[in-house]
Amino acid sequence: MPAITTVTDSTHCKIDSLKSHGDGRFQGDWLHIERDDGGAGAPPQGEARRILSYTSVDGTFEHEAFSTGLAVNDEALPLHREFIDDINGVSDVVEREFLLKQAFNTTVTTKNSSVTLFTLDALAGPIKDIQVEFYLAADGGVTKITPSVYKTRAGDIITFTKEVVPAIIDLAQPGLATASRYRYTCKDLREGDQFYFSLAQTDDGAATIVADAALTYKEAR
Amino acid sequence: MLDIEQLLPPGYRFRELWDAELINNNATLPSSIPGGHKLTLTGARKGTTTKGAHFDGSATSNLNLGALYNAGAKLWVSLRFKLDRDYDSSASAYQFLWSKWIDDNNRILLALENSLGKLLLFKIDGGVNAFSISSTQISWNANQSYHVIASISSAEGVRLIIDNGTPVTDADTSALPNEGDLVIGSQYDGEASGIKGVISDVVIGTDDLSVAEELNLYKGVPPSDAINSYLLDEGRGVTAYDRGSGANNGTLDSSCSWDFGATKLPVLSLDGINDYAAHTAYVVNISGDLSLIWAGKFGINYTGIASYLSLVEMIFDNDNLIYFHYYPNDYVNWQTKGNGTQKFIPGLVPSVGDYGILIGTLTRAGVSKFFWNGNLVGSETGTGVIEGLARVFIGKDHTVGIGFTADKPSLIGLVEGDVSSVAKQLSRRINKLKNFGLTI
Repeated sequence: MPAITTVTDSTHCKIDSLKSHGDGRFQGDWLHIERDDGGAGAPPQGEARRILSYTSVDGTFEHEAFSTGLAVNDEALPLHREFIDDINGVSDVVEREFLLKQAFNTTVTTKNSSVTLFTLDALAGPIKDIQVEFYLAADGGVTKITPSVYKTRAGDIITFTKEVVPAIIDLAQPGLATASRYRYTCKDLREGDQFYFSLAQTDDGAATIVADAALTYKEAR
Repeated sequence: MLDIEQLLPPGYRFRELWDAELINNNATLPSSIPGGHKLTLTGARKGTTTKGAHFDGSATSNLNLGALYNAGAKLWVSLRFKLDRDYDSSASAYQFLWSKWIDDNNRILLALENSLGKLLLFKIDGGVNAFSISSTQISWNANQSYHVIASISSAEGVRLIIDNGTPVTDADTSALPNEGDLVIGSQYDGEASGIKGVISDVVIGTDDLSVAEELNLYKGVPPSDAINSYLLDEGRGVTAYDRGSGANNGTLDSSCSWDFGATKLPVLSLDGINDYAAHTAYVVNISGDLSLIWAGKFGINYTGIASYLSLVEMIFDNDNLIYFHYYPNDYVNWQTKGNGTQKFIPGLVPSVGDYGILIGTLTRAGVSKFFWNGNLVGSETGTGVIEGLARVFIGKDHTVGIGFTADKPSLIGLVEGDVSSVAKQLSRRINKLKNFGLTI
C-alpha cells in the first residue's frame, strides 16, 4: 500500500511510490486513507478527500483537508472519481445513463381554446420514456377534450409539428358524473428537440374543467 | 437510473424545485415535485446558456432591426462582443459591430478599424464628417469578452466607452440619419463587412445615460427605461426577442449561429428590466431547518452597483424571509430574517457569464451558512424563528418595480433540512447534473 512520505501542510502531501504518473493523472479523483499510522484506526483512516492537483515529478498531491492532519507513513490510495461515494453518503457520480425527472401542473381547460400542460426541452440531451398523466374533473355536460402532442423535427428546430402517429383519441364527455384519469406515453426526443402536450376543449360543456397533470421522463446525463 | 430527488442525500427532501427546462409557453414553470407550486412568468422566458449570436462576417450574417430611430436626437447602444481571432492593426478589413446606414455618405457606425486596430465610432452626414472618435485600445484578444457603449445626444454629445474605461468624447450633437436600418453585426444587411465573433446583451435606449447607468450596463444591469433589449440567449431559431418596451423582435440572417460552450442548457432568462417569475400565494413553507439552492449562469457582476438586486426571495412578511440578494455592499448575500431578527452573510462577486451554485442554509436555532460552489463562505448565528408561509419571487424583490436581475438560473430549490454537512457534495452533483464545468 502506498505510504505518505512527506506532509507539507494540511492540503499537500507527497507519496514517493506514486511518482511519475504524469501531471494531473489523479486530479479530480479521491485520496482515500486506508490506514492511520498510529495503528488504532483513528482519523483520518477511512476518510477520502478530493485530489485537487497532482505533480508527477515528486508525487505531490494537493487535496482537500482531512478532519485530522495526515502523518508520514499513513497509507493512502487514490481512487477513481467514478467509483467512490464520499464519506457523507452522497455519491459524486450522477449516472451517465438517464435521470428520472418529473413535473406537476394544475390548470384549467376553457371552452373553444387549448392549454399546454407541459413543455419539454431536450437541449441538454435526449429524453425518453415521456409519460403524461392527467385527471379531469367531472363534467356533466358534453365536453369534448382533445389531447395533442407537438414536437419539433430534425432540421426544423423551432416549428412544432403535431404528432399523428399513434393517433390520439378525443376524450368525449370526460368523466361525465365522475372524474376521470388518462395516461399517454409519448415518443422520445433527440437532443435539441422540443415537445409540448396540450388539451383542447370544444365550445361546449363546462366553462372550465380542472386538469391535474403529472409528467415523468428520463433525461440523458 | 436516478430520480431527481436523489440529488439530495438520504433524510432530505425538496419542498420546492424548479428546473428551467420545463418552462411552459414562456408563461409558467411547473414544479418538479409533488405538492410543489408552479411559478408564473412575467416577461421572463426560456433562454439558454448560449454565449450569444455568432456572426461570420458574410453578407448573410447580421441582425437587422429595421429603420429604428430615424433622425433621432439621442441614441445609445450597449453590447458585449467577443472575436473569433485576435484583431489589431494588421487585420485585413473593418469589422462592423453595428451601423445605421443610408449610403456611404450618410451613416453612423461602430467598427473595428483595420489600419489602426481601434474601435471606431463614426458619423457622416451628406458626405461631411460629423464626428470620428476611436478607442485608445489598439488590439483585441480572441475569445475575450468586451463591453462597449456608444452614444450620441443632442444634449451631451458623443461618448464611446470600452469596459467602463475613460469615455472618448466628441461635442457633436447632430441627429441620427433620417432613414436606414439599424443593423447589428454588419454595416448593412447584405454587406460582407461584419464582425467575426459573438455578440450578446444588446441594449438600446434613446435618452441620456447617466454615469451610474453606464457603469450598470457594464456590470449587466440595464436602465429601467431601455427601449430595446436583445439578450441573444435564445440559443435556437432565428428570432432575437426584444425584451424592452420597444417590442421590436429582430431576425438573425441565415449565416448566424448560436455559440455554445460545453454547457448547453435551458435557463430562466431574465432581462434585468422588468422580468421575473413568482408564486404570489402565501403557500411556501420557510419555517424550520431549510436550505435554499440557486444554480445558474450569472448575468451581472455583482459589485459597485448602487441598486438593490434580488436573485431569489421567499417572504412571508418583512420580518420573516429568506433571500439571495445584492445589497449595495459589493457581494451576493444570503439573508435570513425571522420574527424581525436578521443576519446577512456576504458571498462572492461573480463575473458576467460565470456559473454558480449558491446554497444558503438555516436551522430552527438560527444558525445560517452560505456555500458558494460548495465552499463555505460564511456563517452566522442569531436569526430569529421564521413563522408563516411565503411568496416566492425570482429575479426581483417582492416590492413592485424593485430589484430586477439579469441572471439565467437553471435550477432553484428549497430543501427540507439543513444541508450544510453535505453542501460540497450536493454542489458537485448539481455541477455534474448541469454540466457547469465548475471545479468543486
